[in-house]
Amino acid sequence: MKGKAGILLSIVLVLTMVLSAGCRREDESANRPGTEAAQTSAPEKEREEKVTFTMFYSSPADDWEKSDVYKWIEQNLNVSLDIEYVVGDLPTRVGVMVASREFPDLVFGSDEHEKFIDAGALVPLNDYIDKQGVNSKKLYGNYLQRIKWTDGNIYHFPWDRGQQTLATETSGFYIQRAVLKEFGYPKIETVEEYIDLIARYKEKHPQINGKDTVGIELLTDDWRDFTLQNSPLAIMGGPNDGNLLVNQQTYEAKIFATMPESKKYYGLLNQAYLNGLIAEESFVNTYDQHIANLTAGNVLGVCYDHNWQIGQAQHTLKDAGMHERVYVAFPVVLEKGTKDQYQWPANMITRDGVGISVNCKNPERAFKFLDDLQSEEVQKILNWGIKGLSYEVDDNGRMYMTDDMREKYRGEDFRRKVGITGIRPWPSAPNYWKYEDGNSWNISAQPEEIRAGYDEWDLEILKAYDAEVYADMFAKPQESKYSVAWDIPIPSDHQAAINNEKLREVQRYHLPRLITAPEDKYDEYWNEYVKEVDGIGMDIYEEFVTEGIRQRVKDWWGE
Amino acid sequence: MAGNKIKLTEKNVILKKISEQKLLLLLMLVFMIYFIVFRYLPIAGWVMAFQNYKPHLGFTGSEWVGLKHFNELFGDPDFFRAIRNTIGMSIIRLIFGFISSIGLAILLNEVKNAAFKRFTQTVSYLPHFVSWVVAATIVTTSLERDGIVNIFFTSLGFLKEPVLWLGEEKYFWLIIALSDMWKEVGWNAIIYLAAISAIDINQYEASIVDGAGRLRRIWHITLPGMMPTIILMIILNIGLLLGTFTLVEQVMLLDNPMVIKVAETIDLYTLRLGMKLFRFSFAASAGIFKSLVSVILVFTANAIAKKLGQRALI
Repeated sequence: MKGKAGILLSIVLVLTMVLSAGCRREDESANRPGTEAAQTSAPEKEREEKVTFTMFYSSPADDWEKSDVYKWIEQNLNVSLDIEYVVGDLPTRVGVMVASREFPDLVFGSDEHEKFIDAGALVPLNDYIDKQGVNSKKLYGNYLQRIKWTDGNIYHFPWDRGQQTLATETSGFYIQRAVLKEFGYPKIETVEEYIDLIARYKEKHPQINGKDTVGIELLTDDWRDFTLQNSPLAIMGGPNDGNLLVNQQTYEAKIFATMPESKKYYGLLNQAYLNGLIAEESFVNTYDQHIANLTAGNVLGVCYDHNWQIGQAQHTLKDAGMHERVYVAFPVVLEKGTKDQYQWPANMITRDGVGISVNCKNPERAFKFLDDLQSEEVQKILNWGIKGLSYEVDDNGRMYMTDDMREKYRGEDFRRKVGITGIRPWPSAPNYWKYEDGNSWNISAQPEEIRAGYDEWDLEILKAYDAEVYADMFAKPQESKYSVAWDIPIPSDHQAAINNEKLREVQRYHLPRLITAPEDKYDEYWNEYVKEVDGIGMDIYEEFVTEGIRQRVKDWWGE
Repeated sequence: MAGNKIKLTEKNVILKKISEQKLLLLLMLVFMIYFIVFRYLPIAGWVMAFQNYKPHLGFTGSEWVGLKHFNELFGDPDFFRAIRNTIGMSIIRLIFGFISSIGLAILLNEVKNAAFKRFTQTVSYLPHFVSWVVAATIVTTSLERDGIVNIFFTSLGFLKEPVLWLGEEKYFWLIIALSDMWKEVGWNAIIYLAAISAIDINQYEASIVDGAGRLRRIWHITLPGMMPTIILMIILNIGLLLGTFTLVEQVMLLDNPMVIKVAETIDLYTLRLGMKLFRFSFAASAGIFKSLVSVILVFTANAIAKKLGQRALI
């Protein structure tokens, strides 16, 4: 036994050696053009003494130190990194480090990062930012207030500034491309217009692919029925605040479940139902059945949904070649002229980032390194890679990828070799920022790159609605000072949470009942619904969230 | 002296019995341990029903609140609706389950072709091994507007328009009972088949000599022969009237907004307003209520069985 295991082990060892040698050779040869490109574009910088920092990096090794981007940084910023990746369990490794107080110069602990701060392992960066943070003041600006830890110090620059959806919609009222084409791509602004268009198409085409045409199907499976409960807020032009309408001046939060706008909206749906436009199956179907129905191609619209829920149906339709049955989202509102807020702003995650440890011998230089990384020039390298390798610049200064690069970019190996794959903990800007030259912060945000993936249908629709990308059909997101209302943590056994759960259950039963109400019964059912909602005592919930929002605005913005 | 001697022998008898049955006792020990660890020790956790239990504070650190959670529970009309739903669904399930599985066992017993008998039995208990997640998908798909059930009834002319079976409150309990029956009938029939096979074959032969037909034999021999097993199963099942895990699974997978008023069971109610909100104390109070009522039900059923002269459980 022992002998056999020994042989096996040696085979494995030999194999690893051979393989890794092979990899290295390949890497070196492949990297050569990259380094050359880097040298030519390297700016004149006063030469500083080259330093090496040790670093703890809380994810498995992925050879970032061998990438072109890293090599560029090493040459141009004069900093080498000796990175320790996580082998095995992250909490254990962090625990050992904290207990032995042996920290490398730089640490990044992702979801365990807080432990370093709690253990006093990190150097506060406040003074450094004040004195030498040329780039960080620019890149984080007002957000420096928000990234302060509870003790008022800044320990790291959060890498996750939030991802805004720049290419597609985040949510909306969905309608088939075929319907739009039939009526010459009309502008759909209100709920009435939306329902009317579906009614007209259904009348003209009672059958699609041999199946009876269904006007609208809703999604009410289990917790997914939040789309039905939250849609009144969207059509009122409110942000993504769950079941609360928040006054943006006083930050007073009120449930909108029983507001007149909700009554009007569900009343319109009730009318549509009575006219045979809403499938009764909406209230019985599971999510899978719902998606299956949408991919059959005979459902004309989905009244308010989120991109991530309907996306599965969209992909299937495209794969099946039913391009005219793919859905387009519109920012539908209740009253003409209401400014929509269907697109959500990005929310920064302040939890983690790269910090400088108390063991670092040269914290000034380490901070300089972190600050250098925040210059536009280095940000471009970190996000776009190396010119000539992963992007080109045209005569107008626009950055773009050649077809060959786009093809290669799809493969993980290429991105890894260049060094622009995955998540990096380095300081970063939100993805909707633009460089001074007007290019987008990263590749996936550049409109030219988004449009490269569009088919003829997409281009025709976008032209008709005068948009570059689908997101342009919506109003630009407005940043909220408190992120979102449903993000205010409520202790789960607090009466506010209990009452909120009760409201969900009341709505879960009553909303389908209102929509399917028989003629002349709507008002009666509505009054029953309002009575039940009033009986819960939602004011406890409203007050709790209002308090939470006000506190948060104070903490984050000092207002 | 004499009395002492008798006592001594009594003791000897007990010891002798123990030594004779030590293997059986040893076997039983395993299950005793199981029940003590998983059924009796957790009862200690009931104290949390009288506290505002917080896991990080533990039993000793949590605040005592007396009957607060019970008051809240009994003050909530939703809770009583959940009790009604649970008992309603359980009783219908129980009736359908008993009649179908006893019937199937008797029918199978009358089949003379052994191969056909085995085949039927296997087919009938196959659905038992399918998880409810899968079974529920089969049920919902069959009950769609253009599902097999609607096609069947409309093409035979029983229905003019297809019905959205799962969307109507009045059908929901029936669907729960019928789908449970479909899934469990074969499995439940096994125990009755075993009971039938224990009936003395001489009784049948004697009745044939007396000129009894097939139905007579079923009525006068097979059914009475199965009675002790049936009574036992009824008593055991009455303890489950307030809901079992399979009922939770089944309702969770089949319900929808149109029927929630008749669908929510005690366990789902506890899940929604207790566990989902980490209100362990509230959930525990609902659990205590359920356990106490179940124990009472079992003992009542047992007493009734005794009164009727049947062999009871205890």
